[in-house]
Amino acid sequence: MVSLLGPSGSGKTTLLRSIAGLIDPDRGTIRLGERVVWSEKSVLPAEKRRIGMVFQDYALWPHMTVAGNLSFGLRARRLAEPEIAARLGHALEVTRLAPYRDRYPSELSGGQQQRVAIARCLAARPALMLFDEPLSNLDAALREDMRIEMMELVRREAATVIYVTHDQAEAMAVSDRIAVMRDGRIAQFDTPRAIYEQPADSFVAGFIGGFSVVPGTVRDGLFSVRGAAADSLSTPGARPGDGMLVVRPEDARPAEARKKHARLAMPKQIESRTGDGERWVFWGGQKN
Amino acid sequence: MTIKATLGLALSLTALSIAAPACAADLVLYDALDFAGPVAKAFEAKTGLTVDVVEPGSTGETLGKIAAEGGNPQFDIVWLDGSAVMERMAADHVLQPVPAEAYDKIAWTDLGKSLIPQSHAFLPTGTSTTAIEVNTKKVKADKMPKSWADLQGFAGSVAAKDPNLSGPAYQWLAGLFQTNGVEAGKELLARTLTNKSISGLSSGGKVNKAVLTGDASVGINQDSAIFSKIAAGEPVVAVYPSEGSVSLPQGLGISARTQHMDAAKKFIEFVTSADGQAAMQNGDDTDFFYIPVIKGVKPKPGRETSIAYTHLDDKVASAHETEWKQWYKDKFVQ
Amino acid sequence: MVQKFDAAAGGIGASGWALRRLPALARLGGPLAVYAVFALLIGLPLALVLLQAVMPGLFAADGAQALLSAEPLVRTLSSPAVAGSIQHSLELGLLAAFTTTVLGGAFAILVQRCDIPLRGAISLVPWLVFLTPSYLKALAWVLLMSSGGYLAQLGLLPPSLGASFFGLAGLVFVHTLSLFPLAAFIIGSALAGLGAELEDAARLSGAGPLRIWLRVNGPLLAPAIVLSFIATFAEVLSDFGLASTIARMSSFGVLTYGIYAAASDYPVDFPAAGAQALVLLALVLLVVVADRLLRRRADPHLISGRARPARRYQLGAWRWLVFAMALLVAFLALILPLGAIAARALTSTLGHGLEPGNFTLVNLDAALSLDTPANDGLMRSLFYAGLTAIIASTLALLLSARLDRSSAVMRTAVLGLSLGAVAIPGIVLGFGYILVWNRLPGFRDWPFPHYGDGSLLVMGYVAAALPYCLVVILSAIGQLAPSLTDAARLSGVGAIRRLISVTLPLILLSVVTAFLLTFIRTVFELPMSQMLIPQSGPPAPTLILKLFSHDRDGLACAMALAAMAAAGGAAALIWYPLKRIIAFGRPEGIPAASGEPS
Repeated sequence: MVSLLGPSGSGKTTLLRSIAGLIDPDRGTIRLGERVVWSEKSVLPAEKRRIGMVFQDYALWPHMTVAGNLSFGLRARRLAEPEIAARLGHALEVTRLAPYRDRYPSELSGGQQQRVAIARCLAARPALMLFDEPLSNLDAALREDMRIEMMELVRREAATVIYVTHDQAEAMAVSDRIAVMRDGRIAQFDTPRAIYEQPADSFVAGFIGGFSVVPGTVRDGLFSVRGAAADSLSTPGARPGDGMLVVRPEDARPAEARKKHARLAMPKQIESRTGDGERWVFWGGQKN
Repeated sequence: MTIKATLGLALSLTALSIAAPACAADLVLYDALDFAGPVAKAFEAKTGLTVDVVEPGSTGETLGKIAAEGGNPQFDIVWLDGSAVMERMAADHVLQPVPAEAYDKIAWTDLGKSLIPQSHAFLPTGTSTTAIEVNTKKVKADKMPKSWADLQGFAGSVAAKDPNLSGPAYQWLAGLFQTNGVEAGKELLARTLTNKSISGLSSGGKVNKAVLTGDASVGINQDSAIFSKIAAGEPVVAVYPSEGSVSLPQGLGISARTQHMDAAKKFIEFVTSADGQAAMQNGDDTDFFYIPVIKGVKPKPGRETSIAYTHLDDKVASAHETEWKQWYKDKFVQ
Repeated sequence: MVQKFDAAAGGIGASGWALRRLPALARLGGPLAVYAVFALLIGLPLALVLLQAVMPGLFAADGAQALLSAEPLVRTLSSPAVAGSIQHSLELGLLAAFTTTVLGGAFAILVQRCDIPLRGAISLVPWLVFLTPSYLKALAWVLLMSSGGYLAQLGLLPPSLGASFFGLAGLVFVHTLSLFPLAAFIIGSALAGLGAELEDAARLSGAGPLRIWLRVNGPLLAPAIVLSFIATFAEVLSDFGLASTIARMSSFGVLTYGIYAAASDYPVDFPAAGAQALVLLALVLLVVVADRLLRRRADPHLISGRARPARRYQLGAWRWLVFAMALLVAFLALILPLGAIAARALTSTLGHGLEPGNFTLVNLDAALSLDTPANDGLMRSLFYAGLTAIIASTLALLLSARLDRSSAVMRTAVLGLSLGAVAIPGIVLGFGYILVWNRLPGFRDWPFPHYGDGSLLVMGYVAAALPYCLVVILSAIGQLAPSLTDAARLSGVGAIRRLISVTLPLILLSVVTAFLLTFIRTVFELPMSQMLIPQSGPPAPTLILKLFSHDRDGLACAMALAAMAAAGGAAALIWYPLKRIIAFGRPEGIPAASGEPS
């Protein structure tokens, strides 16, 4: 499962839709396995690519029942009826939708609609499944549950998935690999852990978030914070010149606790705070 | 979906509409006469040939349609009021001469004989003339106009048709210029037709209406239009002007480009037969009250036939058609 | 359990590889088809009309020549009649646009924002008025207002008023009553988009209703008000219905009738018709450009997407006054004219008015019994209209679906093109059709459609209706989430099946709306009918007008009545059951398309 992660406007969805064949890129090549599905010379239309997609708004056909939504594409491909029934049954079963097979999408909850969208994708058994921010229309409480359920399902069905999101936590949680995108380019492509531990640049670090990024200069393996009287830090291997110091929140300690290592003092007076219960972020003035 | 599929579907849908009108008729008739429809029906019933009757509206609109079609005329036969317009179309090679034997088969009355044009531009099927329509409730018996010149006394209250729209009206205008002189006639009209809202009417029906409602006390109208109103019980009379009346033949002409000469000849034969003449009287509207030009045919009851005629010089009339019509339009219409 | 996904070798449908195409062609296919249709149906006829204006010898009977000359333009513009009709058209357009916008705006505000009784019935009035053709309303008013007409007979009409009716005043009056629905629709939909939030916010800031309307709602509605003014102005300029009835009877020359007269009345003057068409088109174009410029400045997002309906004002006893005013509009715009037509259809002479002995069924009998010219005309028109509606709505659906795959820019372009084509006066297009199909070599001898044939009239009808259909269907498709068809594509569903199984069911109501609108409009379409009378017989509108000008208004009214009953009945018969079926089988959540009467 690969995630495309990036701020809005970074080209995630454009890339996804190019892969699907819904839009044509300007140049380059798109390969699916060994096959070229798009180049400037030849185009395989979307309907022949055998790529499945779970849309942000689910794109369930409102005039068809759940079963109708699942079987419509199969019928269009002229599969045999027993085959259609088998695929339908399996997809409904694994998504726990069997009781709802004759309902219309508008009669389902948001989470159920999302499951229908995934089931429709599963029933088609595509070579590749694309997820376009599938959780963004769900409320926060449901989102976590659906994410876990969706991951389980996808893993169990051994599908190859490209997952678009702008939520870094979501990307971290679901992906085997993450492509962090910026301005239409992939800024870093790596495992979630690698991205977290070694962001390629300040943009990736900034976007992954939670980090404090401190500008300064490196000289002789020592980083000194710009415009601050703090002590230099030992950063072996860093290239000399201007640089950024990235501080993970869990590595930050109040100044008194780790005096020997870091001299980046916590604010002396806390003016505001925010957090999710586990971690807190404090803002405060450096009152001297 | 390919472009082909889109266009194919569109084309086949369009082709659907072929089915209905594709079967072309044996004869296409352009006309502006009330009885043309019934006559065509009777002709179809008798001969089994099919006729498309095209009535764009007034005589002017029919002439307009023919002019608009230019070198690609769609009609085989045209049937209109007015000899001058027919002569003009023959001179323009829109019409071809009617074959001489068509005239020879018919027992013409003297009036009928006088209407046969030298050029054979058309075959007269009947005639009428222009008279002064007077509302007897508005105009006392001793104040009745007797001539075109008397109409000056009713200035502003005289309803008239636009010769651009009406064949009979042009025939009247040309006749007036012939009997009263062109310049004198123009002056007379300028003094008489001073109310533009009733001097450029589109049809005889409108003149009737203006006279009946009292918008005008007298009207210049085709006499058959007046007789159709008298037959309907309306309080009007027809007064024939002392200057003499110009006969207004209904002419049948044959298109110079017709592909259906045989059917056209059969149609002429039918119209001049007893059956055809009966069909021409089978109705109550204006044109059914025509004056017959064939021996043995009686007009509809109530129709005056003893009229003092003067003969219109069609050559002069058709030569000045465009000029005089334009003059009338500029002076008395709009 | 592990599913075997088709990622393995051969998983991608091998058959698909045969269908390699140049991407450029695939991308341009839709737009090309659309442009081709537009060029043939609208572009070419229009181009010839304009060429005729500057090349008077282009179609001369003896020796055609393509020499440029400003002579027709100069001659036409310097003719006092034409200069007069330009002035008349402008005066009439500006005055009627003003009164129509005032009446339509007031109607929309009162009906949408006040708690008047019988709202459902009253909000139906604009639709019925909108669907009644202008020349019928005009003829009805002629019956009512002429000296000796119904109102004079009932003693309700002072003669001076009757006389002044036949002129600018009467034309403005009838145009206003006939076009106010257009203004009511435009301003009403802007009003519906305003939502309650802005008003609530203003109220919380302490503004009273008057202040809210002057400072909040008024300015926000300004673009819609201007649009309504512009749309009515263009509509009045291109109107042929009133031009060929009241205006013609009053000798109030306007451009549209001038074009008709120059192209149809003897002496025929094509170059003059072209020159007048050029002037008319230039005026309409000016209006469309002004509209574009104004709309660019207005912020379209500001007044859209507000779903919460606004609160209605509780008027208390005053609502009866408002109700009476709405009823008065309904009475003048709909009930009185239809009543006059019905009365005339059921009586033998106008002069004897509503005397009991004057009532007769002769006219209706002539219109309804088979094998009379009137009945033939009716049947012909119903047939042509049905055919036109099928072709135009299907063509619009196909073109819309093709456009669906093109870029948003293309969609906007076609929507703009359609809206522009809507503004082209039917009379100009009709004249263009004569030039193309009767004069242009290649087209002249083309067997189908052929000049003088019903097929060409149907083609003209389609050209006149297609832009409307495209606007209705494109806006319905625009409201569908694109992901719905994308999802079908990715499921391997081909284009035709996608159109039939996904798009069509979701926009069915709009397609049927387009179909019915086209059907009703075409039954009564006047300018094309007048210009392209088929040889097999005239369609109903031509016949009605001709009967009227030949003083057989009883039969004309009976035909109009029968045509309205047939068209309205057929429409209601299709619309209401369908709406019920769709409302039943359709779950909530499908956005209703705009342009549906509800």
